[in-house]
Amino acid sequence: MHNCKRTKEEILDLALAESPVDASQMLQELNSCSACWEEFASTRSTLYVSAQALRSNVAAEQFWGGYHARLRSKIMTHAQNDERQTQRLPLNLRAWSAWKTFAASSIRLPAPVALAALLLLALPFVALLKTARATTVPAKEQAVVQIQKVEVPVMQEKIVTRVVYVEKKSDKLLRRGSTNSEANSDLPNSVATVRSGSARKALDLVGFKPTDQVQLKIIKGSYPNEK
Amino acid sequence: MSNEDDLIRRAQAGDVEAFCALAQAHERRIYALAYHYCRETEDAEDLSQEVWLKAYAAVRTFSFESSFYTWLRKITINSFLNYQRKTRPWHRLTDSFQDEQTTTSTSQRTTIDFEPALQNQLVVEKVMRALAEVTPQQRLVFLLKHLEGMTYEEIARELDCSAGTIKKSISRTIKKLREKLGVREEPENLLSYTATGLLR
Repeated sequence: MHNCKRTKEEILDLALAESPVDASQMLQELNSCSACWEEFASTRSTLYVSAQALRSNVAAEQFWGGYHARLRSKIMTHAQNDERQTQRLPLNLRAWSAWKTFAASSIRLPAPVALAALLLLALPFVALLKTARATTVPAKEQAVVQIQKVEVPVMQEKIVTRVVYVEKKSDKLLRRGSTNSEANSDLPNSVATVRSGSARKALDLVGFKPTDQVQLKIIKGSYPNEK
Repeated sequence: MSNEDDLIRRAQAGDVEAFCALAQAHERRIYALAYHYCRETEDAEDLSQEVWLKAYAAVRTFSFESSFYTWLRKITINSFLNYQRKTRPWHRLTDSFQDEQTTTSTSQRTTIDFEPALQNQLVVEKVMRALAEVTPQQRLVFLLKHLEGMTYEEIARELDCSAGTIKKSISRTIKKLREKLGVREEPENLLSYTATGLLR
């Protein structure tokens, strides 16, 4: 069944030999429809005429000699300029220029090879990420520090200075004490030396009799800070 | 190793003469593309020479993965697209068409080896006028397809668009050409063209 719309869509492809259209089948289709045939004929003729016109309308033969000479001179000048520029550049700039050329250069790789290379590069990274995740210990909850104030009773010591007044013995008693010391001279030497070192004390305590009851007299107000 | 490969290797080693020999082998095609693209002899010469200077600067990067001409055409297309983006307003082409027609007769350009159907300069001018009325992009696509024989896919890759866009662009240019040329071919003639392979 001939379909003009579909055929006309394929006419351009047939005329330009573009798509894998079956030419013999298409020609049969075109023969069956005069409108389609006319369309095809017009398209092909237009292409033919325009191709001939374009090919013929370029330049005369004598033009090319001059054109090539001009082109050659331009290429030579360009090449010389390039060379001069390269020579003028100091070594470090030349190295930089070479590095830039290297950095801008590219290589063609088949897609599967490129993909494989990418995967190879990505694998260690992924593995690294996985191990990093595995070793990561979940962070513990931070301990909440509560500060409690506990009042502890502290024993406070109070230094109390007391003045004890002791009654002095009478001179008589002192004298008696001295005579007693003379009487003790027949004692062994060691005892005598001890006694002579603490002679005054010994004398003071001679005849001292401790009382049964100690009567302490505390006088308040002897010190200004005393309560 | 072919002669061209040898020339390329020598050019890559810094042999300017070898590069000039390479240029001589392809300069006509590049110039023709440039001329049909920008449609002015001076601009075409500047543009084509710019292509060659760029090629000279980049010849060391050519890695023999494609043919030298395919690599060169890539540089050409990029140069054309850059040229399009530059200062020159493209409506000037249409405006200056009349001026150019007067200068064409006195210029070096001649029509050579015409087919019987194209023996009239008027036909050529009609084609040029039609191409001047489409956008530079459409003109470039048409030239790449029709003169260079690139496929939709190849052009789409070079111009960074879809094959459908390329097909649509070519269709519009052909429509414009048909309007200007008013071509009506007899089926018999067409069949004879097909039979003799003239239409391929």
